[in-house]
Amino acid sequence: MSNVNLSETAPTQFQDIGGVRLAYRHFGKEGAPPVVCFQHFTGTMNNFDPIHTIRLAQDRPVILVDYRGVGRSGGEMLDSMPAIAADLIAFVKALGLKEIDLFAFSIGGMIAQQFVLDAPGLVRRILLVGTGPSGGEGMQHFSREVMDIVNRPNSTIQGRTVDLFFSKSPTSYAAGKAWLERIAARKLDREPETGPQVAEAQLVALAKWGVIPATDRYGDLKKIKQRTLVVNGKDDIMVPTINSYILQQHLPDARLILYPDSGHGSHFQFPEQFAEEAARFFGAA
Amino acid sequence: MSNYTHETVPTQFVEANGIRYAYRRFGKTGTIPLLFLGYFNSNMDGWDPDVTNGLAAGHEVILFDNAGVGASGGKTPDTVAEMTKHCVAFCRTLGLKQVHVVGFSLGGMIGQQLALEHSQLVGRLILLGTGPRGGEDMTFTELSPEEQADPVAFLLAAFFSPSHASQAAGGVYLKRIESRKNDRDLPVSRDSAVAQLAAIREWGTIPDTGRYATLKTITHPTLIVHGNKDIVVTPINAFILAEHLPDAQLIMYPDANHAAYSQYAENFLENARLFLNG
Repeated sequence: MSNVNLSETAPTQFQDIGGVRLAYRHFGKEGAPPVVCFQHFTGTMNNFDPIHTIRLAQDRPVILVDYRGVGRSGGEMLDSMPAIAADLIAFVKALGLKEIDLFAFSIGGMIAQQFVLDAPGLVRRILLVGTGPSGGEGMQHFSREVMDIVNRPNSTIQGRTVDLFFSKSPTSYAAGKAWLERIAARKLDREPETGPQVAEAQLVALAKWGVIPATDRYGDLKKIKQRTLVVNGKDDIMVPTINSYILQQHLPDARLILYPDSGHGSHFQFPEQFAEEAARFFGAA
Repeated sequence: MSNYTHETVPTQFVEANGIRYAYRRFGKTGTIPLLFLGYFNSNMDGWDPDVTNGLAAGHEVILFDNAGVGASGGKTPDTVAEMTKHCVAFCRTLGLKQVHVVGFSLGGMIGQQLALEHSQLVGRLILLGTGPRGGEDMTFTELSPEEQADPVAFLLAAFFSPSHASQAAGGVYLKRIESRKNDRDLPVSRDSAVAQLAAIREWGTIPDTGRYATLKTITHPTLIVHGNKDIVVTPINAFILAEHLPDAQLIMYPDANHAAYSQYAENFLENARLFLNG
Protein backbone atom coordinates (compact mmCIF):
# COMPACT_ATOMS: atom_id res chain seq x y z
CA MET A 1 0.00 0.00 0.00
CA SER A 2 1.43 3.34 -0.95
CA ASN A 3 0.46 5.86 1.67
CA VAL A 4 2.47 8.58 -0.01
CA ASN A 5 0.09 8.38 -2.93
CA LEU A 6 -2.89 8.25 -0.60
CA SER A 7 -1.82 11.40 1.20
CA GLU A 8 -1.33 13.19 -2.08
CA THR A 9 -4.17 11.62 -4.02
CA ALA A 10 -6.99 10.75 -1.64
CA PRO A 11 -9.83 12.77 -3.15
CA THR A 12 -11.72 15.39 -1.23
CA GLN A 13 -15.15 14.02 -0.40
CA PHE A 14 -18.22 15.61 1.13
CA GLN A 15 -20.49 14.54 3.98
CA ASP A 16 -23.87 16.11 4.60
CA ILE A 17 -24.47 16.82 8.29
CA GLY A 18 -27.94 18.26 7.90
CA GLY A 19 -28.16 21.33 5.74
CA VAL A 20 -24.45 21.71 5.18
CA ARG A 21 -21.69 19.63 3.61
CA LEU A 22 -18.28 19.24 5.24
CA ALA A 23 -15.28 18.54 3.02
CA TYR A 24 -13.03 15.69 4.12
CA ARG A 25 -10.40 13.22 2.99
CA HIS A 26 -10.17 9.64 4.18
CA PHE A 27 -7.19 7.33 3.64
CA GLY A 28 -4.98 4.79 5.39
CA LYS A 29 -5.13 1.26 6.73
CA GLU A 30 -8.58 0.11 7.77
CA GLY A 31 -9.20 -1.84 10.94
CA ALA A 32 -8.14 0.40 13.81
CA PRO A 33 -10.19 3.35 15.09
CA PRO A 34 -9.76 6.23 12.65
CA VAL A 35 -7.88 9.33 13.73
CA VAL A 36 -9.88 12.44 12.89
CA CYS A 37 -7.75 15.56 12.48
CA PHE A 38 -8.84 19.11 13.38
CA GLN A 39 -6.99 22.05 11.89
CA HIS A 40 -5.46 25.26 13.25
CA PHE A 41 -6.70 28.87 13.16
CA THR A 42 -7.75 29.77 9.58
CA GLY A 43 -6.14 26.61 8.19
CA THR A 44 -7.58 24.13 5.71
CA MET A 45 -6.85 20.46 5.09
CA ASN A 46 -4.00 21.63 2.87
CA ASN A 47 -1.90 22.36 5.95
CA PHE A 48 -1.75 18.89 7.49
CA ASP A 49 1.83 17.67 7.40
CA PRO A 50 2.12 14.65 5.09
CA ILE A 51 4.90 13.24 7.28
CA HIS A 52 2.36 12.95 10.11
CA THR A 53 -0.57 11.71 8.09
CA ILE A 54 1.48 9.19 6.08
CA ARG A 55 2.94 7.71 9.26
CA LEU A 56 -0.41 7.50 11.03
CA ALA A 57 -2.07 6.07 7.92
CA GLN A 58 0.29 3.09 8.02
CA ASP A 59 -1.61 1.85 11.09
CA ARG A 60 -5.09 3.35 10.92
CA PRO A 61 -7.52 5.35 8.82
CA VAL A 62 -6.81 9.07 8.78
CA ILE A 63 -9.68 11.49 8.28
CA LEU A 64 -8.96 15.15 7.58
CA VAL A 65 -11.94 17.50 7.78
CA ASP A 66 -12.57 21.19 7.21
CA TYR A 67 -14.91 23.05 9.57
CA ARG A 68 -18.10 24.61 8.25
CA GLY A 69 -17.09 27.64 6.16
CA VAL A 70 -13.47 26.47 5.71
CA GLY A 71 -12.04 25.31 2.39
CA ARG A 72 -14.82 23.72 0.36
CA SER A 73 -17.02 22.97 3.37
CA GLY A 74 -20.36 24.73 3.00
CA GLY A 75 -21.81 27.50 5.12
CA GLU A 76 -20.05 30.06 7.24
CA MET A 77 -17.59 29.51 10.09
CA LEU A 78 -19.33 29.24 13.47
CA ASP A 79 -18.18 31.37 16.36
CA SER A 80 -18.15 29.10 19.42
CA MET A 81 -16.38 25.86 20.31
CA PRO A 82 -19.62 24.06 21.29
CA ALA A 83 -21.21 24.92 17.92
CA ILE A 84 -18.15 23.85 15.95
CA ALA A 85 -17.83 20.66 18.01
CA ALA A 86 -21.52 19.88 17.40
CA ASP A 87 -20.85 19.97 13.64
CA LEU A 88 -17.97 17.57 14.01
CA ILE A 89 -19.89 15.20 16.28
CA ALA A 90 -22.61 15.15 13.62
CA PHE A 91 -19.94 14.55 10.97
CA VAL A 92 -18.43 11.58 12.81
CA LYS A 93 -21.88 10.09 13.40
CA ALA A 94 -22.89 10.67 9.78
CA LEU A 95 -19.85 8.69 8.68
CA GLY A 96 -21.14 5.84 10.85
CA LEU A 97 -18.07 5.83 13.11
CA LYS A 98 -18.48 4.43 16.61
CA GLU A 99 -15.04 5.10 18.05
CA ILE A 100 -12.37 7.55 16.93
CA ASP A 101 -9.10 9.10 18.00
CA LEU A 102 -8.57 12.85 17.69
CA PHE A 103 -5.43 14.65 16.50
CA ALA A 104 -6.04 18.34 16.92
CA PHE A 105 -3.86 21.41 16.57
CA SER A 106 -4.35 24.88 18.07
CA ILE A 107 -8.02 25.94 17.85
CA GLY A 108 -8.60 22.37 16.71
CA GLY A 109 -7.40 21.22 20.12
CA MET A 110 -9.97 23.39 21.83
CA ILE A 111 -12.69 22.01 19.56
CA ALA A 112 -11.41 18.52 20.38
CA GLN A 113 -11.72 19.13 24.14
CA GLN A 114 -15.28 20.36 23.61
CA PHE A 115 -15.98 17.36 21.35
CA VAL A 116 -14.89 14.95 24.08
CA LEU A 117 -16.88 16.75 26.77
CA ASP A 118 -20.00 16.62 24.60
CA ALA A 119 -19.55 13.14 23.10
CA PRO A 120 -17.23 11.24 25.44
CA GLY A 121 -18.38 7.84 24.18
CA LEU A 122 -17.10 8.46 20.67
CA VAL A 123 -13.48 9.17 21.56
CA ARG A 124 -10.73 6.73 22.50
CA ARG A 125 -7.51 8.83 22.53
CA ILE A 126 -6.68 12.50 22.07
CA LEU A 127 -3.53 14.10 20.69
CA LEU A 128 -3.47 17.84 21.42
CA VAL A 129 -0.83 20.09 19.88
CA GLY A 130 -0.23 23.79 20.54
CA THR A 131 -3.44 24.30 22.45
CA GLY A 132 -4.84 25.14 25.84
CA PRO A 133 -7.74 24.70 28.23
CA SER A 134 -10.78 26.92 28.37
CA GLY A 135 -9.90 29.92 30.52
CA GLY A 136 -6.17 29.23 30.22
CA GLU A 137 -3.33 31.68 30.67
CA GLY A 138 -3.32 34.56 28.20
CA MET A 139 -5.98 32.96 26.01
CA GLN A 140 -8.69 35.63 25.93
CA HIS A 141 -6.99 37.25 22.98
CA PHE A 142 -3.86 36.90 20.90
CA SER A 143 -0.88 38.92 22.06
CA ARG A 144 0.19 42.13 20.35
CA GLU A 145 3.11 40.24 18.82
CA VAL A 146 0.72 37.74 17.21
CA MET A 147 -1.76 40.36 15.97
CA ASP A 148 1.09 42.38 14.44
CA ILE A 149 2.06 39.32 12.42
CA VAL A 150 -1.56 38.50 11.51
CA ASN A 151 -2.18 42.07 10.31
CA ARG A 152 1.21 42.66 8.72
CA PRO A 153 0.74 44.58 5.47
CA ASN A 154 2.10 43.21 2.20
CA SER A 155 2.72 39.77 3.66
CA THR A 156 1.85 36.34 2.33
CA ILE A 157 -0.14 33.80 4.31
CA GLN A 158 2.87 31.48 4.07
CA GLY A 159 5.22 34.10 5.52
CA ARG A 160 2.82 34.96 8.32
CA THR A 161 2.23 31.32 9.16
CA VAL A 162 5.95 30.59 9.48
CA ASP A 163 6.35 33.57 11.82
CA LEU A 164 3.38 32.45 13.91
CA PHE A 165 4.23 28.75 14.10
CA PHE A 166 8.02 28.72 14.37
CA SER A 167 10.47 30.35 16.75
CA LYS A 168 12.91 33.06 15.76
CA SER A 169 15.97 30.83 15.45
CA PRO A 170 17.43 30.04 12.01
CA THR A 171 16.83 26.32 12.50
CA SER A 172 13.19 26.85 13.37
CA TYR A 173 12.69 29.21 10.43
CA ALA A 174 14.29 26.68 8.08
CA ALA A 175 11.97 24.00 9.47
CA GLY A 176 9.07 26.30 8.70
CA LYS A 177 10.16 26.62 5.09
CA ALA A 178 10.51 22.85 4.80
CA TRP A 179 6.98 22.40 6.17
CA LEU A 180 5.63 24.85 3.59
CA GLU A 181 7.23 22.76 0.85
CA ARG A 182 5.76 19.55 2.25
CA ILE A 183 2.22 20.90 2.40
CA ALA A 184 2.55 22.23 -1.15
CA ALA A 185 3.41 18.77 -2.50
CA ARG A 186 -0.20 17.73 -2.99
CA LYS A 187 -1.45 19.19 -6.27
CA LEU A 188 -4.86 17.54 -6.49
CA ASP A 189 -8.01 19.10 -5.05
CA ARG A 190 -6.30 21.90 -3.16
CA GLU A 191 -8.70 23.69 -0.89
CA PRO A 192 -9.31 27.41 -1.37
CA GLU A 193 -7.64 29.53 1.31
CA THR A 194 -9.96 30.86 3.97
CA GLY A 195 -11.36 34.37 3.83
CA PRO A 196 -11.86 37.01 6.51
CA GLN A 197 -15.17 35.58 7.78
CA VAL A 198 -13.38 32.46 9.01
CA ALA A 199 -10.74 34.45 10.89
CA GLU A 200 -13.35 36.76 12.43
CA ALA A 201 -15.60 33.93 13.62
CA GLN A 202 -12.65 31.91 14.94
CA LEU A 203 -11.36 34.94 16.87
CA VAL A 204 -14.79 35.26 18.50
CA ALA A 205 -14.76 31.56 19.36
CA LEU A 206 -11.24 31.86 20.79
CA ALA A 207 -12.24 34.86 22.91
CA LYS A 208 -15.18 32.95 24.37
CA TRP A 209 -13.00 29.92 25.04
CA GLY A 210 -10.42 32.09 26.77
CA VAL A 211 -12.78 33.60 29.34
CA ILE A 212 -11.66 32.63 32.82
CA PRO A 213 -14.65 31.21 34.72
CA ALA A 214 -15.49 32.64 38.14
CA THR A 215 -15.12 29.26 39.82
CA ASP A 216 -13.55 25.86 39.15
CA ARG A 217 -11.23 27.21 36.48
CA TYR A 218 -10.03 23.91 35.02
CA GLY A 219 -12.84 21.73 36.32
CA ASP A 220 -13.89 20.50 32.87
CA LEU A 221 -10.50 18.93 32.28
CA LYS A 222 -11.10 16.39 35.04
CA LYS A 223 -14.04 15.05 33.03
CA ILE A 224 -11.83 14.12 30.09
CA LYS A 225 -10.82 10.60 31.05
CA GLN A 226 -9.39 9.62 27.68
CA ARG A 227 -5.68 9.01 27.43
CA THR A 228 -4.17 12.20 26.03
CA LEU A 229 -0.84 13.31 24.62
CA VAL A 230 -0.13 17.04 24.84
CA VAL A 231 2.62 18.47 22.62
CA ASN A 232 4.00 21.96 22.18
CA GLY A 233 7.12 23.98 21.48
CA LYS A 234 8.77 25.78 24.36
CA ASP A 235 8.12 29.23 22.84
CA ASP A 236 4.53 29.17 21.58
CA ILE A 237 3.39 32.76 21.00
CA MET A 238 -0.12 31.82 19.84
CA VAL A 239 -1.19 29.69 22.80
CA PRO A 240 1.38 30.31 25.54
CA THR A 241 3.27 27.12 26.37
CA ILE A 242 2.30 27.16 30.06
CA ASN A 243 -1.16 26.09 28.88
CA SER A 244 0.24 22.76 27.72
CA TYR A 245 1.63 22.24 31.21
CA ILE A 246 -1.75 23.18 32.72
CA LEU A 247 -3.52 20.69 30.44
CA GLN A 248 -1.15 17.95 31.50
CA GLN A 249 -1.51 18.72 35.20
CA HIS A 250 -5.31 18.77 35.14
CA LEU A 251 -6.22 16.09 32.61
CA PRO A 252 -6.48 12.75 34.46
CA ASP A 253 -4.34 10.76 32.01
CA ALA A 254 -2.14 13.02 29.94
CA ARG A 255 1.47 12.89 28.87
CA LEU A 256 3.32 16.08 27.89
CA ILE A 257 6.10 16.59 25.37
CA LEU A 258 7.72 20.01 24.91
CA TYR A 259 10.18 20.40 22.06
CA PRO A 260 13.16 22.78 22.14
CA ASP A 261 13.83 25.70 19.80
CA SER A 262 10.24 25.73 18.58
CA GLY A 263 6.87 27.37 18.84
CA HIS A 264 3.24 26.63 18.05
CA GLY A 265 4.17 24.29 15.17
CA SER A 266 6.73 22.19 17.04
CA HIS A 267 5.26 19.06 15.48
CA PHE A 268 6.14 20.45 12.05
CA GLN A 269 9.67 21.22 13.20
CA PHE A 270 10.31 17.67 14.49
CA PRO A 271 7.98 15.88 12.09
CA GLU A 272 9.45 12.37 12.09
CA GLN A 273 10.05 12.26 15.82
CA PHE A 274 6.57 13.58 16.49
CA ALA A 275 4.98 11.17 14.02
CA GLU A 276 6.69 8.18 15.64
CA GLU A 277 5.59 9.28 19.09
CA ALA A 278 2.06 9.87 17.82
CA ALA A 279 1.99 6.42 16.19
CA ARG A 280 3.20 4.85 19.45
CA PHE A 281 0.60 6.80 21.39
CA PHE A 282 -2.31 5.73 19.21
CA GLY A 283 -0.96 2.22 18.76
CA ALA A 284 -0.06 1.26 22.31
CA ALA A 285 -2.41 -1.07 24.13
CA MET B 1 30.90 -4.95 23.22
CA SER B 2 31.49 -6.44 26.66
CA ASN B 3 29.17 -9.21 27.68
CA TYR B 4 28.60 -7.74 31.10
CA THR B 5 25.22 -6.48 32.22
CA HIS B 6 23.99 -4.41 35.13
CA GLU B 7 23.66 -7.68 37.02
CA THR B 8 27.07 -9.16 36.25
CA VAL B 9 29.52 -6.31 35.77
CA PRO B 10 32.17 -6.29 38.51
CA THR B 11 32.66 -3.23 40.66
CA GLN B 12 35.97 -1.56 39.90
CA PHE B 13 37.92 1.15 41.67
CA VAL B 14 40.01 4.06 40.48
CA GLU B 15 42.01 6.45 42.63
CA ALA B 16 42.29 10.21 42.20
CA ASN B 17 43.59 12.76 44.70
CA GLY B 18 43.74 10.09 47.37
CA ILE B 19 40.11 9.05 46.95
CA ARG B 20 39.12 5.63 45.73
CA TYR B 21 35.99 5.83 43.59
CA ALA B 22 33.79 2.79 43.00
CA TYR B 23 32.33 2.35 39.54
CA ARG B 24 30.91 -0.19 37.13
CA ARG B 25 31.43 -0.01 33.40
CA PHE B 26 29.68 -2.07 30.75
CA GLY B 27 27.84 -1.79 27.46
CA LYS B 28 28.91 -0.90 23.94
CA THR B 29 32.54 0.14 23.83
CA GLY B 30 33.82 2.79 21.43
CA THR B 31 30.88 5.07 22.17
CA ILE B 32 30.56 8.22 24.25
CA PRO B 33 29.86 6.76 27.70
CA LEU B 34 26.75 7.53 29.68
CA LEU B 35 27.73 8.64 33.18
CA PHE B 36 24.91 7.78 35.58
CA LEU B 37 24.64 10.06 38.61
CA GLY B 38 22.20 8.78 41.20
CA TYR B 39 19.63 10.21 43.58
CA PHE B 40 19.86 11.23 47.23
CA ASN B 41 20.85 8.39 49.53
CA SER B 42 21.39 5.91 46.69
CA ASN B 43 24.31 3.88 45.42
CA MET B 44 25.01 2.10 42.13
CA ASP B 45 22.40 -0.55 42.95
CA GLY B 46 19.64 2.08 42.91
CA TRP B 47 19.46 2.32 39.13
CA ASP B 48 16.71 0.50 37.27
CA PRO B 49 18.46 -2.36 35.41
CA ASP B 50 15.89 -2.21 32.60
CA VAL B 51 17.13 1.29 31.86
CA THR B 52 20.86 0.74 32.33
CA ASN B 53 20.80 -2.50 30.35
CA GLY B 54 18.50 -0.94 27.78
CA LEU B 55 20.85 1.95 27.15
CA ALA B 56 23.95 -0.28 27.31
CA ALA B 57 22.94 -1.79 23.96
CA GLY B 58 23.88 1.48 22.26
CA HIS B 59 26.29 3.11 24.67
CA GLU B 60 28.88 2.38 27.25
CA VAL B 61 27.33 2.77 30.71
CA ILE B 62 29.28 3.96 33.73
CA LEU B 63 27.68 3.77 37.16
CA PHE B 64 29.57 5.72 39.78
CA ASP B 65 29.49 6.36 43.52
CA ASN B 66 30.47 9.93 44.38
CA ALA B 67 32.91 10.54 47.23
CA GLY B 68 31.79 8.99 50.49
CA VAL B 69 28.86 7.18 48.85
CA GLY B 70 28.48 3.38 48.94
CA ALA B 71 31.79 1.67 48.24
CA SER B 72 33.63 4.87 47.34
CA GLY B 73 36.15 6.31 49.78
CA GLY B 74 36.46 9.88 50.97
CA LYS B 75 33.89 12.11 52.56
CA THR B 76 30.64 13.20 50.92
CA PRO B 77 30.74 16.95 50.41
CA ASP B 78 27.78 19.10 51.38
CA THR B 79 27.43 21.08 48.15
CA VAL B 80 26.55 20.10 44.59
CA ALA B 81 29.55 22.11 43.36
CA GLU B 82 31.97 19.99 45.42
CA MET B 83 30.30 16.78 44.27
CA THR B 84 30.77 18.00 40.73
CA LYS B 85 34.51 18.33 41.30
CA HIS B 86 34.65 14.67 42.27
CA CYS B 87 32.88 13.75 39.04
CA VAL B 88 35.46 15.68 37.07
CA ALA B 89 38.35 14.03 38.90
CA PHE B 90 36.80 10.62 38.31
CA CYS B 91 36.29 11.24 34.58
CA ARG B 92 39.82 12.62 34.12
CA THR B 93 41.38 9.67 35.89
CA LEU B 94 39.52 7.28 33.63
CA GLY B 95 40.70 9.34 30.65
CA LEU B 96 37.16 10.18 29.56
CA LYS B 97 37.16 13.11 27.15
CA GLN B 98 33.40 13.39 27.00
CA VAL B 99 30.40 11.78 28.64
CA HIS B 100 26.66 12.06 28.31
CA VAL B 101 25.19 12.50 31.77
CA VAL B 102 22.13 10.63 33.00
CA GLY B 103 21.34 12.38 36.27
CA PHE B 104 18.45 11.49 38.54
CA SER B 105 17.32 14.02 41.17
CA LEU B 106 20.53 15.03 43.02
CA GLY B 107 22.40 13.47 40.09
CA GLY B 108 20.60 15.83 37.73
CA MET B 109 21.73 18.78 39.79
CA ILE B 110 25.33 17.60 39.55
CA GLY B 111 24.76 17.07 35.82
CA GLN B 112 23.68 20.69 35.38
CA GLN B 113 26.67 21.94 37.39
CA LEU B 114 29.00 19.73 35.38
CA ALA B 115 27.62 21.08 32.10
CA LEU B 116 27.91 24.64 33.40
CA GLU B 117 31.48 24.43 34.67
CA HIS B 118 32.95 21.76 32.40
CA SER B 119 31.04 22.31 29.22
CA GLN B 120 33.43 20.31 27.03
CA LEU B 121 33.27 17.25 29.23
CA VAL B 122 29.51 16.92 28.75
CA GLY B 123 27.94 15.94 25.44
CA ARG B 124 24.26 15.56 26.23
CA LEU B 125 22.24 15.73 29.40
CA ILE B 126 19.39 13.49 30.47
CA LEU B 127 17.77 15.00 33.55
CA LEU B 128 15.38 12.76 35.49
CA GLY B 129 13.18 14.08 38.28
CA THR B 130 15.34 17.08 38.96
CA GLY B 131 15.13 20.85 39.12
CA PRO B 132 17.10 24.02 38.54
CA ARG B 133 19.17 25.75 41.19
CA GLY B 134 16.74 27.74 43.33
CA GLY B 135 13.68 26.04 41.83
CA GLU B 136 10.15 25.91 43.24
CA ASP B 137 9.55 24.13 46.55
CA MET B 138 12.99 22.60 46.61
CA THR B 139 13.35 22.72 50.38
CA PHE B 140 13.78 18.96 50.94
CA THR B 141 12.74 18.07 54.45
CA GLU B 142 14.67 15.57 56.50
CA LEU B 143 13.43 11.98 56.26
CA SER B 144 11.21 11.15 59.22
CA PRO B 145 12.20 8.32 61.60
CA GLU B 146 9.42 6.21 60.05
CA GLU B 147 10.79 6.84 56.55
CA GLN B 148 14.29 5.94 57.68
CA ALA B 149 13.00 2.81 59.42
CA ASP B 150 11.11 1.48 56.39
CA PRO B 151 13.02 2.32 53.21
CA VAL B 152 10.79 0.15 51.02
CA ALA B 153 7.61 1.95 52.10
CA PHE B 154 9.45 5.24 51.69
CA LEU B 155 10.54 4.40 48.13
CA LEU B 156 7.05 3.33 47.12
CA ALA B 157 5.60 6.57 48.51
CA ALA B 158 8.24 8.93 47.11
CA PHE B 159 8.96 7.29 43.76
CA PHE B 160 5.50 6.09 42.70
CA SER B 161 2.06 7.64 42.81
CA PRO B 162 -0.67 6.23 45.08
CA SER B 163 -2.56 4.66 42.15
CA HIS B 164 -2.76 0.92 41.81
CA ALA B 165 -0.91 1.02 38.48
CA SER B 166 1.94 3.12 39.80
CA GLN B 167 2.32 1.11 43.01
CA ALA B 168 2.41 -2.05 40.89
CA ALA B 169 5.20 -0.49 38.82
CA GLY B 170 6.94 0.26 42.11
CA GLY B 171 6.74 -3.34 43.18
CA VAL B 172 8.30 -4.48 39.92
CA TYR B 173 10.99 -1.81 40.24
CA LEU B 174 11.90 -3.03 43.72
CA LYS B 175 12.31 -6.56 42.37
CA ARG B 176 14.39 -5.36 39.44
CA ILE B 177 16.86 -3.45 41.59
CA GLU B 178 17.42 -6.68 43.54
CA SER B 179 18.22 -8.61 40.36
CA ARG B 180 21.95 -8.08 40.84
CA LYS B 181 22.83 -10.79 43.33
CA ASN B 182 26.60 -10.64 43.73
CA ASP B 183 29.02 -7.84 44.46
CA ARG B 184 26.30 -5.50 45.69
CA ASP B 185 27.29 -1.99 46.59
CA LEU B 186 27.77 -0.88 50.22
CA PRO B 187 24.89 1.01 51.85
CA VAL B 188 24.96 4.80 52.03
CA SER B 189 26.15 5.89 55.44
CA ARG B 190 24.21 8.25 57.64
CA ASP B 191 27.01 10.85 57.37
CA SER B 192 26.85 10.70 53.58
CA ALA B 193 23.06 11.11 53.57
CA VAL B 194 23.27 14.10 55.91
CA ALA B 195 25.83 15.79 53.66
CA GLN B 196 23.72 15.04 50.53
CA LEU B 197 20.65 16.54 52.17
CA ALA B 198 22.62 19.70 52.93
CA ALA B 199 23.78 19.77 49.30
CA ILE B 200 20.31 19.52 47.77
CA ARG B 201 18.97 22.13 50.20
CA GLU B 202 21.76 24.49 49.29
CA TRP B 203 20.98 23.84 45.60
CA GLY B 204 17.30 24.58 46.28
CA THR B 205 17.98 27.95 47.91
CA ILE B 206 16.50 30.75 45.82
CA PRO B 207 19.21 33.27 44.92
CA ASP B 208 18.64 36.98 45.55
CA THR B 209 19.18 37.84 41.90
CA GLY B 210 19.41 36.09 38.56
CA ARG B 211 17.21 33.12 39.41
CA TYR B 212 17.56 30.61 36.52
CA ALA B 213 20.06 32.89 34.73
CA THR B 214 22.76 30.21 34.54
CA LEU B 215 20.43 27.83 32.71
CA LYS B 216 20.75 29.92 29.55
CA THR B 217 24.43 29.09 29.37
CA ILE B 218 23.85 25.32 29.42
CA THR B 219 23.57 24.88 25.68
CA HIS B 220 23.92 21.09 25.65
CA PRO B 221 21.10 19.13 24.09
CA THR B 222 19.01 18.04 27.05
CA LEU B 223 16.20 15.56 27.62
CA ILE B 224 14.11 16.23 30.72
CA VAL B 225 11.91 13.44 32.07
CA HIS B 226 9.55 14.00 34.97
CA GLY B 227 6.43 12.60 36.64
CA ASN B 228 3.37 14.82 36.77
CA LYS B 229 2.86 13.96 40.44
CA ASP B 230 6.45 14.19 41.61
CA ILE B 231 6.31 15.02 45.32
CA VAL B 232 10.10 15.18 45.74
CA VAL B 233 10.87 17.69 42.99
CA THR B 234 7.56 19.26 41.99
CA PRO B 235 6.78 19.05 38.26
CA ILE B 236 6.81 22.79 37.61
CA ASN B 237 10.59 22.55 38.00
CA ALA B 238 10.81 20.38 34.91
CA PHE B 239 8.78 22.96 33.00
CA ILE B 240 11.09 25.72 34.25
CA LEU B 241 14.11 23.74 33.07
CA ALA B 242 12.52 23.22 29.65
CA GLU B 243 11.68 26.90 29.30
CA HIS B 244 15.09 28.24 30.39
CA LEU B 245 17.52 25.71 28.97
CA PRO B 246 18.26 26.67 25.37
CA ASP B 247 17.99 23.17 23.90
CA ALA B 248 15.84 20.94 26.07
CA GLN B 249 13.03 18.53 25.29
CA LEU B 250 10.61 17.72 28.11
CA ILE B 251 8.63 14.54 28.55
CA MET B 252 6.21 14.48 31.47
CA TYR B 253 4.46 11.21 32.27
CA PRO B 254 1.01 10.87 33.84
CA ASP B 255 0.24 9.20 37.15
CA ALA B 256 3.94 9.18 37.92
CA ASN B 257 6.04 10.36 40.83
CA HIS B 258 9.81 10.76 41.27
CA ALA B 259 10.72 7.54 39.42
CA ALA B 260 8.76 8.31 36.25
CA TYR B 261 11.75 7.17 34.16
CA SER B 262 11.37 3.70 35.64
CA GLN B 263 7.57 3.52 35.55
CA TYR B 264 7.67 4.40 31.85
CA ALA B 265 10.96 2.65 31.13
CA GLU B 266 9.94 1.40 27.69
CA ASN B 267 8.80 4.78 26.38
CA PHE B 268 11.70 6.52 28.11
CA LEU B 269 14.19 4.18 26.44
CA GLU B 270 12.68 4.84 23.00
CA ASN B 271 13.00 8.57 23.52
CA ALA B 272 16.42 8.39 25.14
CA ARG B 273 17.80 6.38 22.20
CA LEU B 274 16.37 8.85 19.72
CA PHE B 275 17.77 11.73 21.73
CA LEU B 276 21.25 10.22 22.12
CA ASN B 277 21.45 9.42 18.41
CA GLY B 278 20.05 12.80 17.37
